[in-house]
Amino acid sequence: MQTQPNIARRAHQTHQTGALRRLGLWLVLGVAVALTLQGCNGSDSNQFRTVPGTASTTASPLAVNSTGHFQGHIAFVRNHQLYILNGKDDTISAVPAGTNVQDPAYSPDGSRLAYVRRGASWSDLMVLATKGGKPIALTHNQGTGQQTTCPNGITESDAVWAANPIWTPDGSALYYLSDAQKLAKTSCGFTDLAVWKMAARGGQPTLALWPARGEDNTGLPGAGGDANLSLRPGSANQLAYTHYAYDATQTNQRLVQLYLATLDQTQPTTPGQPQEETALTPATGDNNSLQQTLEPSWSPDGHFLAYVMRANGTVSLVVTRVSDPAMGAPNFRDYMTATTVLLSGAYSYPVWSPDGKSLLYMQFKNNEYDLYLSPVTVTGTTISLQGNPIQLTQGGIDGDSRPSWTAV
Amino acid sequence: MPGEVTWRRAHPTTGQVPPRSAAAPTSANAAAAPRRDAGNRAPRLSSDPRGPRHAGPRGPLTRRERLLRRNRLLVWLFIPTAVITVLAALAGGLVSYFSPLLTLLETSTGHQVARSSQENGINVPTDLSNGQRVNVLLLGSDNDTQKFAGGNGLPGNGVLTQTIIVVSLDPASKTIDLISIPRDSWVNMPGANECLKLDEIAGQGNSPDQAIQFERTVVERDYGIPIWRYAWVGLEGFVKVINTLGGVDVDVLHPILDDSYPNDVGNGDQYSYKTLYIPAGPQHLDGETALEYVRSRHSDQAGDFGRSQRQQSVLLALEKKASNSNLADKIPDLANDLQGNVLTDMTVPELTQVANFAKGVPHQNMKQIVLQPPTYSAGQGTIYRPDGEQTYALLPNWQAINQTIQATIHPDPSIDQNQPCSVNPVPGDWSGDTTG
Repeated sequence: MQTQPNIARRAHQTHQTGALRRLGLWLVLGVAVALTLQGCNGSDSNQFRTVPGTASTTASPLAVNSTGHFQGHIAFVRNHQLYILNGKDDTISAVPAGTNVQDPAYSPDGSRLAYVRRGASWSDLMVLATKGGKPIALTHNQGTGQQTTCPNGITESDAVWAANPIWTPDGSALYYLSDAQKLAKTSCGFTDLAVWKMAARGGQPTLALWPARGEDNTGLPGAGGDANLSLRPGSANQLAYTHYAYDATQTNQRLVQLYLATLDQTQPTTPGQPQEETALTPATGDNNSLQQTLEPSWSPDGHFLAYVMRANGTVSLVVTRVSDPAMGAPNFRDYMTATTVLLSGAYSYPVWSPDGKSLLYMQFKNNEYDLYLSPVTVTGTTISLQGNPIQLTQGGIDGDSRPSWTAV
Repeated sequence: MPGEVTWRRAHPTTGQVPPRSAAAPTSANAAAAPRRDAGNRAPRLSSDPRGPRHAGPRGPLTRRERLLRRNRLLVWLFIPTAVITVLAALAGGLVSYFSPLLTLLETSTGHQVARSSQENGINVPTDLSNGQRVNVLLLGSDNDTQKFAGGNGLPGNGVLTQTIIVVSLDPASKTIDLISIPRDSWVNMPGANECLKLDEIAGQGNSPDQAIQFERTVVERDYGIPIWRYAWVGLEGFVKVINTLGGVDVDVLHPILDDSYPNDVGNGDQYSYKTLYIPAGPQHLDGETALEYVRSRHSDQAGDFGRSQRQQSVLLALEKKASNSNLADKIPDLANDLQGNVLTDMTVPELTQVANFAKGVPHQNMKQIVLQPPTYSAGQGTIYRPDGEQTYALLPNWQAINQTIQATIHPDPSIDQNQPCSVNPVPGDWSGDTTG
């Protein structure tokens, strides 16, 4: 026979057990709901690992996807500092390249990184061995601060900008953007960026490409010139780039098109010299409305060109097969085969994986720019992305990061 | 003592209350006893774990009971005091938190500018909430220039308005139209028989009020746009606000290269220049870079028109950033940023209305119009000013402008009473008509 206190104790225990059970049920239910909601978001925040030392007063810490494996390394920029993402173990390391840097570019063998270091009113081309060492400045663009007023009224400084370096296939030289032509008296007052070439060991830069003149060579300069350089693999001298110009009808409408130039390897060009180049994409699209095509990136086999298209208020990622020789303006036959692989997102800077099986790109989402990776399938002449893209970074990288990918 | 109540202890086992004895301490006696008497502590007499109060019939109070009672009293005194203190502290915190905002609202909002005689008869909607389209005249000027001149950073007294944008809000269609008017437009000076560039009109005012009145009159009478409210923003405030918001994400429309960008903000030297390069494409701009982006004039052939497009794109990016941010904790900083850098006749409820309306307008419903050549200009080039100086000017194509304004915001056409201006062009440096 149980005593009254025992009954009470037992009842109390039973009550406690019941409460614990209910609590457990609620916990299980809560976890299940949380997991379900995470599934709805399309990404599991648990798979992102925070990178120590990347938080600041204005930025949340950078995190890397611990399941986003890939071959090689990807260089990018955050808060104007250089970082490398290792595809093998998904770790991120800061590169001692200094502050205020941008535009990283791996050499073909992955042993060196070219990039740009910005000063107050100039920028220099830098090269750094990826295994360590001191960065080497290939240019010394600061100038003396002297100002010259050109006949057209434009005042020019002798400080020079350098941007967007890319390597030649043999790694012996770099092409890059610069306004160094303003130092030549013959082009005083011309402010667009042109393509320059510099030996990787340094030396005197030479003008490689004078900015094109927009659609069908009728455009006008003054909209910024060339940008986003990409050398066609296997050709060594076919350079794709974005060209900014104004149309010749004085409507002040900006033409933003992809161009392909065949660079003269034997001698430097001179300011204003006509080039052998063609527009790969038209400046206008459906209903004759303006469209913009920009940020080209060649596939490793040199057959496909990925780029960003802005048309009808949407931004898309497009891939087109480019013949050799290319079939651009005026019929744009290569462009007619273009495939939109990603539609309606704030995409930028597509980059092919070294094996050509994936496409890396940046996307502005949740108020930050991050890296995304998507497998690619090629069927004959058509191309498509497979499955859901993998978000590689979280916490945001620089919007003008211009990532670079090396196989090693 | 009449009315005095004492508690008497019950017997620990029987629960009986002993008769009252003269020796039983009263509360008065207890109060007279030493406050701390650890050696004479009263034993606990009740078996009730809840304490003597619940032990049964009331007996005389022990010292512990008295202490407990006093403590309870103190607790009840403490709680309201604490609550009042916390409320006072909170109020103080709120005051210090909202103080910059209150100062800003007091000094910068609801600043009415009287309508000029030329504005009389213009039917201006009175309220955004009644469903009518309203137009806000957004003026931006480089207040640093004014500071160099010893001014107070407000328009007028020679300060130019570098940005003239009409923000047209239409509740019916849930649209926002941004209409940029080129600063170089050659227009009538209100109340004077002369023409000037639009950015110089405000500078003719002897006070900020007159400057705003002049500018508003031109936009209403020459461009046919009835102005509901105005808002003036200084560039310094623009920089600070963007920095407080943590920067702004902009898709830079084209590479910006400018070797003669005025390096005059916060520099102390209004004649200083710097070299500017902003790459094209998406990027995160801090306040200073965003200002450089919207202010550069020499970075593209389109000059001022390209600049108007850039200004509009940054305004939209700023609106997007603000709508995606939790601004509550930034209110004091934002208020401080804008102090002395903003002036408007909108009241706080009207500002709230506008903000709420803008929040509900999808981005695809925000349209940008720049009244630029060739469509909106009858001629452009270098002209002689009345004082003999040369300047770049733009002769508006009023027919095209009126068509667009009518098609976009459907104003009362009778308010458009512009007087055509003529230009005295520098030979060989002018294209188009010379009378607008």
